[in-house]
Amino acid sequence: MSVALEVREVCKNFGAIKAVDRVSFVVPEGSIFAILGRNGAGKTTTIRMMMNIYLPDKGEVFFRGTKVGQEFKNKVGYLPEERGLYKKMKVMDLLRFFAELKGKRGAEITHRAKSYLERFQLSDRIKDKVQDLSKGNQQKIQFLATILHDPEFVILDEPFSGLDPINTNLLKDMILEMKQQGKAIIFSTHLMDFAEKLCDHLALIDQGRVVLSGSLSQIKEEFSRRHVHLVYKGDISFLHDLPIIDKIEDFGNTAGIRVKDPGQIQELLRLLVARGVEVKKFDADEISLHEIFVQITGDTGEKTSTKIR
Amino acid sequence: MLNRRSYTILKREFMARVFTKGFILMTILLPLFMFGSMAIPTMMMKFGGEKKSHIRIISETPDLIPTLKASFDTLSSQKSRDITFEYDSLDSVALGSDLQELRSDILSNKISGVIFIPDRALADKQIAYYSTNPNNTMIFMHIGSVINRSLVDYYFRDKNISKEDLDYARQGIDFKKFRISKKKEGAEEESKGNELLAFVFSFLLYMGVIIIGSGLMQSVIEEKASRIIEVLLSSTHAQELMVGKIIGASLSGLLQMVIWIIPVLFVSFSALLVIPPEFHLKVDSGLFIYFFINYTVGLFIYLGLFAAVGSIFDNSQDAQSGTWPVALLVAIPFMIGISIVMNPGSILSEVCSFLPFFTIFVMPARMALIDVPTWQLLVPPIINILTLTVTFKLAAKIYRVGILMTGKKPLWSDVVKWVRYKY
Repeated sequence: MSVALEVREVCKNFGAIKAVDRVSFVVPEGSIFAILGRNGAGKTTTIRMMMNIYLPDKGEVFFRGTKVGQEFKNKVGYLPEERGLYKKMKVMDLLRFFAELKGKRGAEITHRAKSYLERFQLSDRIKDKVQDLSKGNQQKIQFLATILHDPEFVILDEPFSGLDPINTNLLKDMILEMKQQGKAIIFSTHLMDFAEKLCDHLALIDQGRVVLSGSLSQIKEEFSRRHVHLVYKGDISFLHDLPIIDKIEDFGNTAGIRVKDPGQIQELLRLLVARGVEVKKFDADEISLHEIFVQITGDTGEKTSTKIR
Repeated sequence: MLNRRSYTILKREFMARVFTKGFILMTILLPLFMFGSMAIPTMMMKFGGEKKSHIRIISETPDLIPTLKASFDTLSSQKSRDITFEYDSLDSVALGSDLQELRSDILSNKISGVIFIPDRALADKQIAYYSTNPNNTMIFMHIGSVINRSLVDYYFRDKNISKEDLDYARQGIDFKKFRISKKKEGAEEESKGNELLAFVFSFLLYMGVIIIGSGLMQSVIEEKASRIIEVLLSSTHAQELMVGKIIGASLSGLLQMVIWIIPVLFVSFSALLVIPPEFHLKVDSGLFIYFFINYTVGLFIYLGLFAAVGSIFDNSQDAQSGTWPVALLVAIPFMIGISIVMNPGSILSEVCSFLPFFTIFVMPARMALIDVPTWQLLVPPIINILTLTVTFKLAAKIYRVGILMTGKKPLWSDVVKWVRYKY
């Protein structure tokens, strides 16, 4: 696995607040990498340090072995969490301006812009001012500005927040398309469903620290070995007192159950049947990213880093 | 420092600035306003008596009336046909009933005013004016000197003084000013045009810095408030961004200044417009070259500060109330620049033309008024460059931190902390 981007022990304090505390992870080439965490966990600050917008107090970020700097900025496409465009500029002028900042100009960029605008059904709005476009169309222009210069690397901070369903799909397609072109894509989100469907690697940040990182499949495998996804009818409250149970998250009809040892799963099933619980589904090898997220961040005081490669 | 990215930003900033209605309007309207404000008093005097006025002049001394009549005839035929006069002779008791009688005519403005010249006016020159509008200075300007002349004529009529003697006594003195300079042999008559130019320079520098400075501040706030700033910073460095924006805005300021100065040059050097000889400018092109270089560096200095202030706040209202330190740094030197017209050779004006910030406004005005020794012209650029180095470093630090700070309105003590931040 060749590494596209490596974040090594970066720290950032704002006054007394430790926004990011010794965060490390690696983003493999060609991967879709998700940075997960609650709001305020430190995702945006981490991304800003990766983008060289903030200088880390400690630690470094490397792009293909060299410290990130202007060269990296030229090769990256960045969609910040809070978006903004020059409202009074015309669509094409704006797109050309952002591409020119990345060092791309000329007929090739104009051509690319036109073909994207056509694909986004905006080719009739080329000469319109940004402020005359609907919010949804402004969002499209913002994606376009992110990728028009054909970046090798894309960083999207909370890309799905505030998008309508059409644009959500559009962005998802674009991400997959870029992955097919071999580009590495990083996105941050607090929406676990999306992350689970899209990413192949991830880092989970909580209170400024990485609490979990690695490939999604390996993480799921590791967590699912002790985990049962149960769909049931009846009373399972007796499970709370059982010594084999590590943790239960009960939703009434479904529950996520973690046993202390993978060998105890069969015993769990036997006990459920013995107690007269109607077991509709007993998935012993399945765990959702959301359940992993809750398991890790919901554990009070447990802040040990779990690293899976 | 000016690389490809700064150039891209510069270009955008310049275009965004110049192709706006506000810029075009301001650039065109300011000279009109400036020349207008100079022409308005003259226009007022010419056309101030827009309504026809009728004045009743009452003299307690009947013999004074022919003298008054003669003087006013000259006035009404030469200056204003809009004022007509009637004359009468009454004493102060009769005046009371006269005014009572004519009250309705005065109130309906058939009679604009009544002037009463009592006997003792021949001793103390105290006269009275009765009108619905007794503050009409136009009347006093037109009529006061004529009555004075009549009183003087009447007073001296039997005193065996010749008309020539009287005219001499009446005349005020007139200073003709000559400038002795190293540049020319002998002495050269001084022009009122130079005084005007000194004022115009100070005024244009002030307007230019304020207009372009607050424009840049708004643009920084827009980028910060709309979060474009993060996209920009993902492509470029904060300092490159600031440099690009400052130079772009400065170029728009220079363009504006050229447009403002062209009419000044045209009026002063062109033979097409007939202007009174005492307003002919006595300047060389070096003054204008110095003026433009001075303005460019001045813009760099002030725009850095305006950008820093813009970066501190995320809305215009807060920024408006937070600009006062920079606004003072513009306003006080401007005031001094204007006031040195009174005495350009004073210690104050000499010292101020070497002080940081002050030199930008004071030196060009001083140069328009007196011969500034060459060595003194070489000092301000050095001072300006040093000022620029300091303000730019400070502004860049505040800007770099400020543009990413949103939410709570920062305190000045926070801003001081930012300067020490490692970013």
